Amino acid sequence: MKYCQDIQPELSAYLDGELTPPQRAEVEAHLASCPRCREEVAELKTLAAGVAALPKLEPAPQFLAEVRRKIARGDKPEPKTWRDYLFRPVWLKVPLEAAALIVIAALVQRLQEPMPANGVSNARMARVKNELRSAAAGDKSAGEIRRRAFADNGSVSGLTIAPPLAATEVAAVAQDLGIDPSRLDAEVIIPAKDLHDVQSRAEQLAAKCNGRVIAVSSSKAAAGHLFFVELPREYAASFKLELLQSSASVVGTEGGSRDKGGTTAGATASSADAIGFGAGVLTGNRETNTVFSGAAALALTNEAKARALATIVLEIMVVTPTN
Amino acid sequence: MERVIQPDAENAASDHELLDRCRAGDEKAFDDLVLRHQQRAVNVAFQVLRDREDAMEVAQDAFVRIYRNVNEFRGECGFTTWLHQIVLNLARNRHRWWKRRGRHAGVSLDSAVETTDGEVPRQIAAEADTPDVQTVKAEFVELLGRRIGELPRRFREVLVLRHVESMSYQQIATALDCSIGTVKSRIARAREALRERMKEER
Repeated sequence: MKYCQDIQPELSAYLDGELTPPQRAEVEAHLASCPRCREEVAELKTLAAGVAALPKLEPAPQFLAEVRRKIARGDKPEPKTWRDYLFRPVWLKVPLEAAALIVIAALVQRLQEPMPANGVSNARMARVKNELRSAAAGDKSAGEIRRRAFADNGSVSGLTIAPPLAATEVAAVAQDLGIDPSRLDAEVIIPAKDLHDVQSRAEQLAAKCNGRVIAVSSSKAAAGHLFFVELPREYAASFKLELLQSSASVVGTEGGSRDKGGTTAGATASSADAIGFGAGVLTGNRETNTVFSGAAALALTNEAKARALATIVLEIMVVTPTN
Repeated sequence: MERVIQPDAENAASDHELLDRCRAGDEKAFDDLVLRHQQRAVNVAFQVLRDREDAMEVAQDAFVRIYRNVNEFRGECGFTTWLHQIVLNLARNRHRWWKRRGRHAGVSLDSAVETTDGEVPRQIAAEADTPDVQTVKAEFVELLGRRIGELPRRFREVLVLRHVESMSYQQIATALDCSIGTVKSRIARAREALRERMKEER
């Protein structure tokens, strides 16, 4: 027996005839016994009919002639050649040039750091590894990592695993893959010996929340492995990372620095030796900042109302622990 | 499956035949394509942008782009899907352009008339409605027109493609270059957002 909250997310697709027969049967069984959901379907139907009934705009009689005139005149929907860029008005040219400078600066920075085959810089990898190693050696407890992560009023800037420089590097990699860097919204660093395991979990996770794994590096030999998962933004708010070991539960907080009951500063290296030890941070949005330690499993802690609008991209970095 | 409206379906060449002829230099074939699809292009642009002049411009520019790129289009998707992609892309650029200039605030079916055309009421001919649609009250549709104009553009896009263009989730996914799952969740969120807004003031 399904409850309203299970059924309601499906009502929209039900209305559009886009559910599988079993899903459809489930929804219909529920609707038969639930007047509230029936009412919701009726409301959605009215909305749909309303959108279909919106006044339409008819093309002007001279539409074709206008198109022909633009073609003859050589109008471009948007400038394409370097000349167009060169002779743009100042208000557009100046920001463009500023942007170009930044790009050049970033390129220079990237060139100075040799890149392994999978596009993750050695410098970054070394930094992450150091962090993982020192954490594994007991230099920092999970609690310490968490404190540092939230030292800056809930932001993650204090965590050296996610230094600002890395963001530009990752953005560059993302761009190479055709991903808009502005959508890179969260970072997950996962220690694991088995890349395929993490990848398949990421794929399951993506499938669960209507997302997709965008690109996976083909290089298996490299120490780190970077790929991206695209998700509807509302899911980011409800993401958590859970530890594989039940004894070492999530070191997590919701709502920035609010501590949720002192979970497990003791999730230390020794408890996670089967898969390696690591620390990382997942920031879905301002509402969820979860720091985890120990061997991590991605898990979706469900629902969360649609609050924001865009899809986001999670950057998932898999680090193979050094032996 | 591509939904193609063909005014005289029996005699008409398919879109792909017309495109082939365009590639071979047949200018008349391009005109036929424009005439066949101008209404679709104009209306989709209008529903997304909620501004008549911008919609005309964008639809015209879309056909200009099609004319220029007809040799690059290899028919990976239907012509209308390609047209939708181009219209939506140009509409996005136009939307951003205005947004940067601060005109975006309050742009909607009705309010835009007051801000750009003085007090002239906007009169737009409605197409013949289906019986289902006739049951929707006029003032409800009018309010809906205003409310949909306040939604984020990406929500309007999916609602328009779904309800105005009657496209399947698969077709919408192709036109927007995203996954079916994204389409599904975005449509659900768009409806929820619209419903919330409709409740605010009736």
